[in-house]
Amino acid sequence: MESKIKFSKLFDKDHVGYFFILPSLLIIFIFTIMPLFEAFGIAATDMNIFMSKWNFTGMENFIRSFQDERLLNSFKNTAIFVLFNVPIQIAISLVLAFWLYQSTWFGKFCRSVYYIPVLCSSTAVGIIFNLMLNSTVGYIPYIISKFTGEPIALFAEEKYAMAVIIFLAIWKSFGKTVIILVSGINNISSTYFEASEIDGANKFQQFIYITIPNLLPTLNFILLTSIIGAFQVFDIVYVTTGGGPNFTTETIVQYIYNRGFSAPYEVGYASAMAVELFIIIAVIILFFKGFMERKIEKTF
Amino acid sequence: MKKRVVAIVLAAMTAASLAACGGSGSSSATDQTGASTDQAEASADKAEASGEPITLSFWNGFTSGDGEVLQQIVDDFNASNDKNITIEMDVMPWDSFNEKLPAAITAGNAPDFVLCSSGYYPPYVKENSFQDVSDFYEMDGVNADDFEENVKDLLYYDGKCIGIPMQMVSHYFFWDKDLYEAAGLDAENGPSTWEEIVENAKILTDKSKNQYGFNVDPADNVVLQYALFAQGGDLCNADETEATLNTDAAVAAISSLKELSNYSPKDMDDNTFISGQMGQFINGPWIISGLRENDINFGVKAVPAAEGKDPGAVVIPVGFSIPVTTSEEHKQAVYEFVKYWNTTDNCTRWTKECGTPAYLKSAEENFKDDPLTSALSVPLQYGHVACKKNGVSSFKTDVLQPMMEAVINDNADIPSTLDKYNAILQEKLDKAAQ
Amino acid sequence: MRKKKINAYQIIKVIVCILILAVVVFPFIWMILSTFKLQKDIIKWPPSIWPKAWTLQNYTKVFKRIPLAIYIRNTVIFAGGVSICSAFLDSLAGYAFARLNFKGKKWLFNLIILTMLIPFQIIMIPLYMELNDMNLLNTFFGLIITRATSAYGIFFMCSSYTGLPESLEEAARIDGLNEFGIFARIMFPLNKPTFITFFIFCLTSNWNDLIYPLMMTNSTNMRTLPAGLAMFVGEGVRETGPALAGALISILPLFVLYCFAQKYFVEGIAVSGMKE
Repeated sequence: MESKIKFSKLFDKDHVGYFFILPSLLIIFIFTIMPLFEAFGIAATDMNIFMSKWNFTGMENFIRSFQDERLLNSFKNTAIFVLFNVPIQIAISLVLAFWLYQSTWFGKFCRSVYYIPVLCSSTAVGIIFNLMLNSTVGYIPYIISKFTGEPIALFAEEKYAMAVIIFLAIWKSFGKTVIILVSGINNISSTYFEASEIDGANKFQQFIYITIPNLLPTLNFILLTSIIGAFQVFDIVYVTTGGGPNFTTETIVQYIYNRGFSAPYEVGYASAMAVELFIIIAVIILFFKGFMERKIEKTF
Repeated sequence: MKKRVVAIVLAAMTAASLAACGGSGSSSATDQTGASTDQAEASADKAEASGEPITLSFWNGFTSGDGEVLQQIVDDFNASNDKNITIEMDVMPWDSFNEKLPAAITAGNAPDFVLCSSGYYPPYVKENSFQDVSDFYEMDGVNADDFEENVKDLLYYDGKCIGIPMQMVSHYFFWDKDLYEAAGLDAENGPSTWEEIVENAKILTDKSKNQYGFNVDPADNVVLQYALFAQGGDLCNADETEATLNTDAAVAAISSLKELSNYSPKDMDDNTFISGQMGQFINGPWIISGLRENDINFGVKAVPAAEGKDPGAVVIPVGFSIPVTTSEEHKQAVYEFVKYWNTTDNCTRWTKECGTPAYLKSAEENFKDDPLTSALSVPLQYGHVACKKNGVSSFKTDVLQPMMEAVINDNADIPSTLDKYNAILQEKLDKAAQ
Repeated sequence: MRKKKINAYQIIKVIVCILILAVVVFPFIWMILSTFKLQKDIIKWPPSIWPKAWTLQNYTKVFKRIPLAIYIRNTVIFAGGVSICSAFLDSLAGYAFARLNFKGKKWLFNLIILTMLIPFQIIMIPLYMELNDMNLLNTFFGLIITRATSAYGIFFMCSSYTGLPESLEEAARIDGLNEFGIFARIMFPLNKPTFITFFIFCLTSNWNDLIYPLMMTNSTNMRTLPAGLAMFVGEGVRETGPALAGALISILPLFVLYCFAQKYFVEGIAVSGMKE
């Protein structure tokens, strides 16, 4: 009798959660956390990509990284990318989601089309934009040349390259953010909107006082995942500028990749930089997460 | 309670990660080779006697049109060989190839043979990842004398033969005959010195028509090397112990590139060269099919040197290499295919369909009446592999590219910039020599 | 007066939406038209949008060069398998983190979020070695199991379950449903739109993933569409026409599926009849 009580206790509200998360936790532990810890270990060695012979070097890789100007430069580039990409993308998506959340044909049509770039692989995005922006054959430089007399090589000019990368990154993924926000808005009970309309609130007031507060859990998700994604931006740089011109678009992950996956394949050093990146994002994320969660608790 | 859970999980993780590290650390490639070779030797005789089917896995980075021709030749071999050998070819982009192959060799599941090019060889050679294949040349039915001597030697590293030639390419000077004619230049013969290239580049450039005279891209070290060769210079000396980026030759070379950069588009990829907007450029033979497809009337020759200097060239050999993990039995089967590849007929076919120069003497005979293809073979006779030991790419993003960016985009003083980067290159060479 | 104001607002709204539509669509229109061009018409100066001579040769090249049927099958198995597993497991875990209480919840959740912070390239080779030790390389099981759950998905599900009304859950508990019952009968159906949304997201990203399936498989028979697409982008050579045609072919199935799913997945609970 006593054991039966204990057994059923396993399934009560305070314990049953473990069963829900067990499969996920196991998989994440085996296939992400274990390799991740191994990568952390590699960071303290001079291992190359063959991983066959190596020496323990302790903090050497980390010390080296503090004197690495290219790493500093790539941190700076990444910071610029994050500072522009994240707020612009969220702002645009938020406005569009608020405009398009209703199931009108126009709303549906726009949402569908905005999602097309998300469906596109980065390889394809690279092919399309490398060609469209190529100064000797591209259509965009051609249009520019109509105004300025000479085409501009957007990917090759230091002053434009990062802006183009940021634009492309937003172009590629804002459709997804819109979708997430639209489903978030649709989850807000329509009674709130109806009530506010009776109170005579205009659209802007509705947006600020009803949409935003009720969207906080969704916004929290979007903010955190965008920051994480933006800090790790790689694909879009890799398929277009590769970090150039003059390293102005070399982001951290691009640099890590460059060190770890091209001769002489310094995987140990690359891992050490990844650990540093990990720590930086972790601090920022935990800060934002705490901040957002306090806000959410206040609202709900 | 909470603290204890944390401690346990942490302990478990650390243990797991240590175990994992140890695992991959100890499973060195050589251990596994030893085992698999013994095993293979035991079964080798049996296999030959009974003519058991052998399946060989074959990785390479020949995507694109060349890959299609390669696949056809592999298919022909599969259909025609009498040893019951089947080759399964797996093509992937070179980047992926180089991410995957080292891990596969260490894990012991590498393919039976691969194609590798001089640019990618150094780390594999340092790691002893490839077997010595010099005994191929002693095989029955292989005529070692048919290979150009220089070509065979290019795949020897410190006396060890790590590859058998599959393809040999160099870079060439291309000019657009129509643009030459329009500018009143000698369209038939093209320039014969580096100085002429610079002069012509100026004449050919017309930015209002988006038309350019040459290609200078800081991220591209090929043109940089040819500019150095043209002045009798190079990145470093032949045994890669001494950097030579601050010599007079290098200063002259970089100065000419600085001038040429005024006649070059800012961004460049393969589309640029076949756009019909480039009066002259240096590129590989792979661009020829694109030029033809775009109806460009072009001329091609070995890159000329400056007045009074001997021309130099980079040769990029692509070789068949056999990872240390491959058994002796499979190695012999691979040789069958390599032998098939290096027959006059197949060498001729590859040259014809892919536009790369022929490197077998008997195949070169077949192109006697084809001046374009014959011209492609010229640099093979005097060319060398660029930074054979270390690979040029290992200096690219730390030395060559920032140096060129500084000179071309930031207008830095040339001699002092070269001094600075020469010192960095020297440091890298010293480190690599240890 | 008020009506007029709303109209001006509506007009701005529509104009902005259409401008953004144009920016999004233009590259694709250019791309689609380019797939019907000869290479010399794609790469020339001055460039033109409209094909001079229409041709299907880019498409025939794609069909000739890569075993499209096998690649599509593999992509469907891999991306589909991953998405189904991940959507279910992440729903379970996300629900638990959002609605259930258990010790160490916050800590475990943070741990899961932290796993998102490391670039995949860094764990790729350790993961390869691990799968090799487990004999899972070159199998669909190995490809799918590693991605059968994702931190992103758990976070996504968690944030959507957080917003669901508490009252239904309480009512069900009073009716005597156990916790699994509450999840399976009430909360999961309620959150179906999010489930489908995540399924599509997951499908999209795995459908387009080049390096992971390429790294973990060893034969052409196991390859997915992005690896096929890469066949037209070589070093030194770029077959632009076929590459664009290939990219289009690879997007189409996803787009069709997306349009069908749109009906279910954008609409929240307000529309699915569970109004509070």
